[in-house]
Amino acid sequence: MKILIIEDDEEVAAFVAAGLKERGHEAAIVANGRDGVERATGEDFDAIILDRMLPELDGLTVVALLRAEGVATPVLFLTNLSGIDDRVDGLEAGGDDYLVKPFAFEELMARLIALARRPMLGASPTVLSAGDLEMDLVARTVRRGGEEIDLQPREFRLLEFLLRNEGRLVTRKMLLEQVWEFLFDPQTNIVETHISRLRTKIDRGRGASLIHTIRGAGYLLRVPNPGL
Amino acid sequence: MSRIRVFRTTSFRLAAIYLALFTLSAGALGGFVYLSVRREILTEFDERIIEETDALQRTFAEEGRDGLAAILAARGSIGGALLYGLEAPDGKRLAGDLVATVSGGWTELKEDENNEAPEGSAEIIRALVTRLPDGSTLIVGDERRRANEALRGVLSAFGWAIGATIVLGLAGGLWLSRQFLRRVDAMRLAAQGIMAGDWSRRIPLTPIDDDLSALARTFNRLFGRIEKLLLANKHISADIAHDLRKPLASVLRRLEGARAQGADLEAVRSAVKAAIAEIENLLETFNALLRIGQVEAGARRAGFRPLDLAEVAREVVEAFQPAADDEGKTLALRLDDPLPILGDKELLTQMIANLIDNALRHTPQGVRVEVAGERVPSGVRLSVADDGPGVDSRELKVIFERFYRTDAARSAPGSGLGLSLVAAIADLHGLECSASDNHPGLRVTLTTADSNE
Repeated sequence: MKILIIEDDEEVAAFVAAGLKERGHEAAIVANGRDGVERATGEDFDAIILDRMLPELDGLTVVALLRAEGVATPVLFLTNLSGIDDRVDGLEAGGDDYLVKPFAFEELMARLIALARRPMLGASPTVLSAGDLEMDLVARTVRRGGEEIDLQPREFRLLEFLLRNEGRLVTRKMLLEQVWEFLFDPQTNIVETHISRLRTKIDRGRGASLIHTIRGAGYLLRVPNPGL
Repeated sequence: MSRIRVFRTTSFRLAAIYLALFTLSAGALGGFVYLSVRREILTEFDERIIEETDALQRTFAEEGRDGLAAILAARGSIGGALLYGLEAPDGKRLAGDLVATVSGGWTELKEDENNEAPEGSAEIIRALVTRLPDGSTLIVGDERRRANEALRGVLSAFGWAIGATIVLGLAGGLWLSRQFLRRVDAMRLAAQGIMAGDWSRRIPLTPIDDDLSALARTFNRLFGRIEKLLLANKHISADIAHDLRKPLASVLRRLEGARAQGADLEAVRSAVKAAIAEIENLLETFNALLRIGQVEAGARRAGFRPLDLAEVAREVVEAFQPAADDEGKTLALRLDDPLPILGDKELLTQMIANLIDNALRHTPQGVRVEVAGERVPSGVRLSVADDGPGVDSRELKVIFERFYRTDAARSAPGSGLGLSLVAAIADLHGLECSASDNHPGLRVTLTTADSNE
């Protein structure tokens, strides 16, 4: 992936760029909003990491300008503030995701990958599938190997999110935000217990496991390679 | 309270302006009434003379000049009656005292000085002179004074009324201003007391329920809020220092230990990992503090929308249900539908989640946690109650304070900020937050505060 980092905090920018390069991605850094707009309109990036508070042009203005210019590159906001107001403002201005500093690099990475591979609008499928698992978004039904599985609404949403991100790591935080709209991390193991229930329904006694736990990072829905 | 201040008060000024306007309009009305009454009195004065003249002319037609003279003579001796005069065509006075000075029509005569006005103030008499068919002259008149007296009566009644109005108005204005000043002084004193550091000072409320008491109540709420914020501020730095020192010291110890071990890479790695975990916890705590601070600052009220608190509670309970089941606990929901509230959905979600989190974390297996919501006259009431070990009655009041952890909870993970955030979010939404004994267990109740309190 090729990522543009618009961030005036050199330390954060270097930390993110180093992490990206370590994982085989390209990273470009600009330190102010004006240069950021110029760079983002002139080159193709898979995603943009954008700080909320920037010299020259602030993050909200940058994203608004980019969207007005017709640049659809996914934007992930970074901020020092833990306010939800900022999150709403950022998403309303045209941002796609939001992360509060300090963050774990894995969290940022998982979100960047999810953003960069987000399917183009207009081509949203009505059926999601992975191996012999099939989800009909219109009929709200789930089948594995042709057998219908009864899911609670929240389990359905959870599975839908995992399916949409098939093969990619999704973090606890991403699940809390996307499936429950919880912008905080409760002490109680909400995600774990729901995943465990979903696993019981989807995986137990139905052949290869689809839902995998990545310790300390999150979850992954993946069809095992039949060749292995 | 000095006299000058009384005159400067708003209520006195209002009273004075009102009084001036009232006096002016009363004066205008009085002038109008006076003119009307005057015209009426003068017309009546003339009419009485005209009617008498007509009657006397009829008498003359029936009884002749001598008959008329006799009647006039008789009437002249009755006090308070009109004044008369009858003259023969040759000018000889036949009856009465009045003398014709004109040949016909209205005239004004000076009353004979020897007659009735010994003090010298010659009375003006208005008279009607009529020529009778036989050439003799009939004069009927009355003292002008009588009309003037009636008018003066009207005028003085008016003067008294207006005078009394002004006096009463001024006295009333002064009294009102004094009342007003006394209450404003109470407010001023309370504010001065607070400025001097007596934060528990409040404006005494009067039994009168008016806009001034509403203002006083608002101020008292404001003072309460300031006091709370100040107290929180006072504690917060001490609390932060106290609660963050321990984990920081622990990080330091681990890292120093790692340095001492030197070459053992595995030990260094594990020490760094543990240090990172501690620091992440610290950051979580800071985030929680920041969040409480943001909520308490109240800026988020701008994004309030009408919501159904029952719906929010249902979603949160649904999210916690599997976790509660796995822990062998019952999570029950009992709700009135809907529970309308103006608020921030994300914050209310976190508020209820924190309460359920709290109830699930500090209770043993087999406990029952009930989330209940109902409508009450002031708005809504939401409670989260468990039948676990509960909280000591002395601690019920302080569990919402930052970093407060009961002895029993000290061993469980958590920052001691969960319920503080609940209190801050509740406060932002105008909900009163209280903890009570659920016999057994803990019950936290959030009730829409009565806006009049």
